[in-house]
This record gives sequence, structure tokens and C-alpha cells, in this order.
Amino acid sequence: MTHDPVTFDIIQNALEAIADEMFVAQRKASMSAIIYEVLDLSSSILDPNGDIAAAGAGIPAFIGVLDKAVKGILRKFPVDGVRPGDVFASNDPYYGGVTHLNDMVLAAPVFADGRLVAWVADIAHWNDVGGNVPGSMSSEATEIFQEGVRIPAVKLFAEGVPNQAVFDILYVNTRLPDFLKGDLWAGIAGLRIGERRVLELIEKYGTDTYLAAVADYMDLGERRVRAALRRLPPGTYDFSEEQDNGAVHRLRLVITPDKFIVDLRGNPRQAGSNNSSREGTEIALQLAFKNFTDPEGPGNGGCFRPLEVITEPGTIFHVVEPGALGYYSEVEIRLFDMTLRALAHHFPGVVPAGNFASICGTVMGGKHPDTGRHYTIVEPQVGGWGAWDGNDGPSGQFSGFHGETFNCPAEIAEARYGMFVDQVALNSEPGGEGQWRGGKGIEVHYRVRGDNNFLSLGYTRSRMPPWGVAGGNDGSLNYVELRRTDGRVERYAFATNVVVNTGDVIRIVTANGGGYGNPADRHAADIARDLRNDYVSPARAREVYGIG
Amino acid sequence: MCGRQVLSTPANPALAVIEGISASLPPDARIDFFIHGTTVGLNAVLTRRGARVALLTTENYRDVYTIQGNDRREIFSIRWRKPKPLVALADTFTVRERINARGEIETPLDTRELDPLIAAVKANGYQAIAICFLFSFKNGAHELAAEAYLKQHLPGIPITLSHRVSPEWREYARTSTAAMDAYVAPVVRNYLNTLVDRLSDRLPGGSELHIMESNGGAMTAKAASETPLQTLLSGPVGGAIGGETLARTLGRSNLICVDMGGTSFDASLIVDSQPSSSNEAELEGLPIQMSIIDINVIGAGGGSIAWEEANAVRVGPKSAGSVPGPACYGRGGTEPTVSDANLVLGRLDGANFAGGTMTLDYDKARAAVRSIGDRFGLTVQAMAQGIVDIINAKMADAIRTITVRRGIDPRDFALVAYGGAGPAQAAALADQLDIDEVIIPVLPGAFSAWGMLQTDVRHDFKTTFYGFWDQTSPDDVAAEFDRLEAEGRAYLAREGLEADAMSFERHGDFRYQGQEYVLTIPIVGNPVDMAATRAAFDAAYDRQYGHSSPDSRLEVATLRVAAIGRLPRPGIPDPEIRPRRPDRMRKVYFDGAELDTAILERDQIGLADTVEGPAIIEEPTATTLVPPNWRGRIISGGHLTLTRQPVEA
Repeated sequence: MTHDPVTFDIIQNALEAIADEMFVAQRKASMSAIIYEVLDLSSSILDPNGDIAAAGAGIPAFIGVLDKAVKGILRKFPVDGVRPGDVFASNDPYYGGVTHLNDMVLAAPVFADGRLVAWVADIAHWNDVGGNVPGSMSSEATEIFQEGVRIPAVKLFAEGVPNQAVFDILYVNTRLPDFLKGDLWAGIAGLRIGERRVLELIEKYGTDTYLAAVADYMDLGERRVRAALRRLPPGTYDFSEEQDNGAVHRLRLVITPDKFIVDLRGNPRQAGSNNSSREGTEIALQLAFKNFTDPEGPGNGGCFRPLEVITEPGTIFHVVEPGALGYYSEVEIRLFDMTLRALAHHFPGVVPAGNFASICGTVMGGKHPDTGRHYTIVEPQVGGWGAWDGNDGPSGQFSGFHGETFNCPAEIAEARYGMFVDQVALNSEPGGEGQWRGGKGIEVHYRVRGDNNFLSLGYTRSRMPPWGVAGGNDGSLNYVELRRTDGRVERYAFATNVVVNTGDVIRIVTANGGGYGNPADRHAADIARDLRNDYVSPARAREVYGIG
Repeated sequence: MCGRQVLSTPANPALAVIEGISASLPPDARIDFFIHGTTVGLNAVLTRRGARVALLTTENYRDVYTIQGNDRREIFSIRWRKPKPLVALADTFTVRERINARGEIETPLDTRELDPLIAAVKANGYQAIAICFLFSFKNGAHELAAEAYLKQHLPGIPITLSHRVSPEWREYARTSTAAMDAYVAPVVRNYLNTLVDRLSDRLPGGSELHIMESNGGAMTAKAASETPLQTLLSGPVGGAIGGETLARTLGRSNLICVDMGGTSFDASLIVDSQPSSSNEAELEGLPIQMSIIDINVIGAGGGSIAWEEANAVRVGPKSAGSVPGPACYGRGGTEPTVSDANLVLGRLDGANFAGGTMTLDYDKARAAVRSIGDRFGLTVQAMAQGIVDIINAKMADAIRTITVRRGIDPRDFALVAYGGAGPAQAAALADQLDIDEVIIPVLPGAFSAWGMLQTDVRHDFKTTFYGFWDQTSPDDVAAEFDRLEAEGRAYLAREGLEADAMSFERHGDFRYQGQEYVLTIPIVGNPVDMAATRAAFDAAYDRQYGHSSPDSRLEVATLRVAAIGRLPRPGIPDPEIRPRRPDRMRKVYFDGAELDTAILERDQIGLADTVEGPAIIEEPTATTLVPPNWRGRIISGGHLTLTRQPVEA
């Protein structure tokens, strides 16, 4: 196959456009806010082996999910068991599901002239797949059986014929069948569009040219990250970090001229639902790797070839059956964050100071006081990001796991849900001061309007703050404070179904990011502006900056 | 209508307009109708040279505009920085007041608490004030009271009220809309005042200076200075409106309109003879709640530069602009551009460019293209063809973004191409999209201006109206529409229109229960037919997404009224046809083959004459390429159509 850069460029752009088109189709047709608003979904076109050629995603942490999913399917179904017209479904991390039972993977092989030429796949977070709590994610689960229905890589369609048994099983194993149905068909719509567009490309340019362009695209991704990798000195670098619960996470980086090896052996044993699958661990590391090597380049399988991950089965980073995974995402983001911190520690300047680095997943719901209907708010939170040389950290922004995500306006929350929003403000707590200060977290107050509503949440960095860099101060903490009407105050980081009643105020607080450089070097004009903006109190300014 | 370019005068852009008019028209010539598309507001935002604005918000909500909506667009970046807001936190003030979701006053406003803001405006020299209170779209009383009090103490300072520029929910987007209005207000007003002062004596008695609005309508300069935000896209919308007129007069109801100049490529759609519009927009990453014509802009033009990235060829979005310009301009540019590639392929006439006002340097173009071709072992011609193919593929993707990504098949459309560089690429672009017909309108380099002459006065009114459609009373809907139409009627009357020239269009934003995304559809019947509107939504949803859910409950979110006032239109005569001279011939490359190609002057082609490809049709503002297997023809109005001919087996 000759190297025809023009045709390749056209096909490669088209792959990105197709992945985006799949993403948009699924998003707009979906019924659940967590899909259309929080964008907890992703779509990909993959090569016949299941490596990602192009991905459409609102959540960067979902970029590397679908290759692992398709490879999981291929482990169960040898390639001659994959037929034209098949659609596979899997939500089980022990069978190609990767994340947790809420995330349903749908994948379809694409055939041209009887030959497997590609896969199209998508994944989205379904609101409820059964299990022992509404929403299926419980911080108290200890086995995957408590987290919902398991779909272990099965054929939803076999050679174009729906496998009605699977549909029926899915529809009864949920508290929200209408949502599940809508979200399932939205996922199928995404696959259909992807398949049609890939076949159009192949019809136009031929199978061989198409496959060569895909291979070339992955090589491009690989060349770009390798160029960045060469900037790091080879060697072995250890790092460990204490967690909110007192456990210590550790990693060893081994950097050679052509490999970036992350060794995670010796980490805590698996427990509760704070565990990640081996594949989920790889995703967290791929994301960190991409963040510091080549954030602008395409996000395809080629980028991750130099990355090697070593895990130990039975640990939180490589859970084994029947371990629970409901809050896998906080395990992944801790690893993602620790990897960046290890890089910051050993190679100053390659990454900014620490950020609030938690999904801060918050679920509130109950009976709407005006309509009597059930309402649920599911939202990640924004927080403060770390400073870097020459820049204060960004304020009130989603974590590195989120991308094109929107926060719910207070006016919509008040009109639609049974809550008052008393305040939307940046976090004025101390922390993150430096020559360049960390970005500000937020402090949002929800006031409950009915009795017997509920609150569930999963926040980390609730005891150990985001780290400062080069003499900058550490940031502050993520937490939720519940102010009861009788004056009692409760503080939470992880909780499931806390009962809240009329007049209770839920105070959501996210961390200020870490600072960069010695606070004594901060310019007086910047300190004056911080004072004017209430980013720092006069007393704190005197304490850390010596003026104010 | 005539074409002439004058250099801009950045210090007071109005002077360039006045100079252009003086230069084009004799002093005693009468102007029948003057309509103007301006980019002063747009440029003020793009260059951050707008007013110093003080923002006033509800207490405990000061930080909403700084926190923003939170789309981290570069999703892998750990150094992403949010778009820079137009008003800093230090210039944001709060006051105690609160209105709830039902529009009831929870905490009354005490206007005396605005005194610190008044002192700050006097001390800090703010030039405009934007006010956004929570739920003001439900009840504007507090914003109005604040405005009255501030006006009294700060005469002459423009004040923008959020519920007036955008009576819609989403406090961040509404604040952003109000802030942008205040930011451009003084600039737009000064500009328009100068224009009105200097030109009104040249207009016939009683007639007004008109300005294009971002929604594709026109408004008087007086109205424009009261709603400056509406002028934001005043410049680029002319082309889309021209497309709408073409659709009507040529009887082709579906058009893809593309404007390709030196640096940017704008694509918009005409569907069922209507420009496709959107109810939300964004500028510099900052949201604007305003109806605008949907225009997809990408960085692709004649000046787009070809470059190498990790052993692959890329073209654009970086552009050589007009300075230094493509290598062939001979102004110091050395990087290969799309125009250089076209010159190398023989598609541009180096000796007779821009109507003979400019010559192009073939050798410089060739050297620039060769420099990148050598790196890939490609001949100069093959590389040049490659550059053109890549830019065409990018433009085709930009068109797919507004068509196939929304489930619209571009093959059902004709392609209208204009701007200086559009007509050269149009047929190849159509090939990419499998489109059979291309229209190159009359005066393609000045088509936006032609479009502006076709416009009506149009102003959009809207209200948030939230609930289940099956629980909504038709009387409540009718009452809201009556109120919006009364506002519209008063607006049009102020614009000088008579009742018989007024009409109103009613639309609503709907979605299925549980969904977030809305679809805007026309409301059926007057009085409102609830069931037929419901059925119309299901049908529209099915068209858009390929399925519908007639069993799901329907929610309404917003009601909209477009108030339209018909303007008298000057007729534009067909261009004159000059006697045809014998065609010149030149060698031109098409897909690797060098073909003898006829070179024609556009104004020498008679009505209904056909031109078989390969051919090149030249005119002062553009060069049209007719590839092999395409046929050109001049049709009524002086427009040129290209149609794809069946390939012989």
C-alpha cells in the first residue's frame, strides 16, 4: 500500500467526524440527564483487533474504555463466532464491561465483503440497573451481586435478529424501565450511524486503503507521544501518597527510551465498592499519560503503545470476582491524580499543582413538594485547579475526568427539582496560596423543600488536600456539610441515602487547588485583587503574604 | 448596486462607510434604500475593545459569571483556561433581593442599597451597566426598579437589563448575554450615531437607515442602537438571506450556502426556503441567548497554509491572511497556500487576477508548493492537487457537521458558493458531497450585500413557558402569544411600519418528558391547536432523529414570536451581457491530467448558453472552475449554475 497522505488525511478526519456523529446521535436521543447533560457516554470506531481508531467523548476518562470492552468480547467470542449483524452488550467488568454495572457497552462488528474491517462501539451510564440501592451505586456494597444485573458480553442481536430474552431481562432489572429503554435504543442508534458511515468510507476508498489509513493514524498517535516521552530522563521513580482513609497508595515509574512502565504492585487489598478493574486502572494511567505527553493529538490506540501497566490481582487497582466496583471512578481518579503528582515530584514543571481531583458525585432526590412526582439530581461538581508557573489556577472547573460537561443552572434546579438554591459562590476558605495561587473551589447551598428526601455522595480529597508545588501552599478539602434545622451539623465524604428534611441546608464545598511558588513572591497587585474578590481574607493575607 | 472596496478606518469605522459611499455615488445621487451590515460590535468583542462594564447581580450569586458553564473544550489539557469574561469579578456588584422560581418576590429590593454601585460608577469610570437578577425572566420588577433608580443618578450611562435582552432561564447564559450587550453598547451606539448624522440628509424624506440583525432581519439604526447585541452577526448574515431569496426566486427550496474568502469558510443552510436558525449562540466561548442564523465557521480559505505534521500533510486552519498573503502575492509569504496550489494547477490566471488589478507570481507559488511536495516525494502538480483535495475534504466535513450530523442528507441540496475563493472550489466540493447542482450567484464577491437588500424587518420575542403540554391550557398559551405579539406590533410601529406590512410567526420549544434538548417547531393553528401541535412535534422529531415517541409526555419550555415587517425592495436588474469574444485556452490540471481548458468572461455568456467543462469562468470578484463532467449555464437573474453530467461508461 503506497503512502497517499491526502487520502489518509481525508479518511482520518472522517473517522473523527463519524465518532462525533455517533456521540451526538446517542446523546440527543438519550433520556437520562447523566448522559445528555453530564455526558457520561463515549463512542468509538475500532480496528478489527479492537484497538481504537477514533473516539467521540465528552468525558476524557472514557476514551480508552471501548478497546478494552471489544477485546473482552473477543476473549469470549473467538473471531469466527462474530457474525455480520451481531450487536454485543456488556456491563460486567469481569466480561469486557470495564467500569461498573451502570455503564452499558454496546458493540457491533462491521463487515465488508465478508471480512471484519472494523468495530463500532459505545458506552453510557444508565441511571439504574437494579441492585440494593436506587441508582445501583452503593458505597456499602461488598460484592458485585449487590450492584445490579450483570450482562457478561452477550449477543443483543445475533445476525440481525434481536435476542428478546436479553431485552426482557434488562427491562425488569431496573427501577426506571422507561429511561433504560430510551437509553438502550439511543445506544443502538449510535452504532447504526457509525456502521453506515464506516461502510460509506470503505465503499469510496476501498477496504485496503481504509485499513492502511487507520493503521497510519495510530502510528501518528504513537509518534507524537514518543516524541514527548523522550523529554523525560530514563530511570526508576517511586512515589507514595496517603489517602483520606489512611491507606497508602504507591507506584513505581520505570522510564526507558521507548517505554513508560507503571508498576502498581503492593497496593491495598480490594474492599467495599472502591475498587477498579485492571482495565479501568489502565484507563486512568492512559489519561494521565496523554495529559502530559500530547494533550492536543488524536486520542487513538497508537498513543498508548509505549505505556505498560503492571498490577497485582486482588488489589484495589485489579479487583477480582466477586469484588464490587460501584465507586470505581474515585479509585481511578486517585490513581490518575497520584500519577500526575509523581511526575510533578520527579520532574518539576511538567504538570501544574494539584487540583480538587474528585468527581464529587452528588445525588439528591425525593418527592417534589409542588408536583408530588419523584425527582433526582445527579451531578458531578466543579472545583479549584492547581496553579502553574506564571498562572493562577482555574476556578470552578470540572475534574480532569470530565470534559464538555455543563453545570446545572440554579434557575433550572429550582424550577425543576424540589430544592432552593441559596448560594452559588467560589470557595473563600484558605488554602492554595502561592506566588501563583490555586483556583477556587465552590460553595453551593441547596435548601431542602420537603421531608424524607435523600442525599448520596462520593467525594475524595476530603482529608488530604491538593498538593502545592515549589513552595506553594496545599489547597483545601472537598466535603458536604449538612446543616439541620435544629442546628446540628453533619459532615460527609461518602454516604448513601442520608435522609434530609424541610429546611435542611446541604452545603457543597469543593477544594481550592494547590499553589505554585513561595507566597512571599506574589505580586502586591495580585494580592490586592484577591482581597477585593474575597479570594483571601485580610487575616489570612497577613498570615501567608504578610500584608493586607 | 455596485461593488467597491475602501480601506477600513479603525479609529472611527463609520468614516470608511461614509467615504465608500462618497466615492461610489455622485453627491447628487439619491439613495432609495440604505441597509448596512456592520461588524463593529463583533470586532469590539474579538479585539476586547468594548466598554468598561459594571455588572450587578443578586446577592450570593456574584460568582456565577466567573464560574461560567464549564465546558473544558480541550478535554485532555491540564492547563486549559476558561474563556476570558467581559467583566471581571472586581467589577461585579451585588444587591440584596430575590425572586423565586414562580416569579414571587421573596426578598424585596431596597434601591437605596444601590448607592455604593453609583459611587463606584462615578469613581471608576464605568461606561455601561449590565443587570442580571435571578428569575428576572419571570418577574422583571426588580431589574426595572434598579434601572429607574440608576438612570436617575447616573444619567447618560447605558443600562442593560437581562430580562429585556433575554427573557429566558439559565442565569449564567443570561448574565453573559446582558454583559455582552453592555460591552458593545457604547461602541455600536457611537458608530450608528455617526452614520445617521452623516447620511440621513442623503436619504429621501421619512425613510430610515437600516441595519442587518443577527437573526437575518433588518432594523432601523435607532432600534439597533437600543439593542446593540442584535448587530453582532450583522455582517455575515447577508449571505444566508441572499440564499433565502435565491431559494424563493429559483424554486430550489434546499440550499447549502458557503462563503469562502481568504481565511474562513462559513456554511449555512436553507431548508424549505427558510434559513436554518438557532436559539443560542456563542462568541469567544461566551454564550449568547439570541436567535441567530446558524453559521458554521471553520478556518479554511484561499490563504490556508499547507504544513507537515509528523509525516502527514495538513492544510489550515492557520492562514497567511492578506499580509503576507499566499506566496504568489509576492508580499513576502513563502508558505504554500490553497491559492498557490490553484495557481500551480493553472486554475487562477496570474496575469488577470482580481479583474486585472493584481498579478500573481507563478514561480513563487511553485517554489512554495514544491518545498512541501519534496518532503513526501510528490510532484509539484500532485502536491498542489493534494492541498486542494484536503481543503475540499475539510470544507465538506464542515458541511457534514450541519447536515449529516443532524440527519440531513446533503444530496437533497444545491450548493450556493460565493466569496472570493468559493466559486473555484465549489464543483469539487459538490463532488465530495455527491451534490448535483452548484449555483454561483451574481457578483459572488459581493453576495452578502446583495442578500441584505432582500431582507425584512424582523425582531424576535420569547418567554420561558414551562410545563406539560397535556396540562397546559390553550388560553394561557394564547394569552402569552397575544402579549408577545402586542410587543412585536409596538416594536414594528416604532420602526415605522404600517399594520398591513406586519406579520407574526409563532414557535415553541418542545421536548419529551425527561429529555433536555428541545426542538423548536411552529405552533399549529390560531387559536392554538394543541393536538395538532403535539403531532407536529412527533413528526419533526422523527425527521430529525429517525424515531419518535408519541406515547411519551410532551414538555413545552419556551414560546417565541417573530415579528416581521415587509420592506419595499428595490428591484435589481439582470446584469448586461457583453458581446462574446473568442475563448482563450489554457492548460489546467484536473486530477493529475493536463487538459486544454476554455477561459471565458462571465459577462460574455448569454442567458441559457451552456459551457461544457473543463472551463474557467472569470469575473472581477471571483474565478469559477467548471471541471470535466460539469456543465455551466447562466439563468434568470444572472446567476450561474453548474450541473454534474452523467459520466459516460
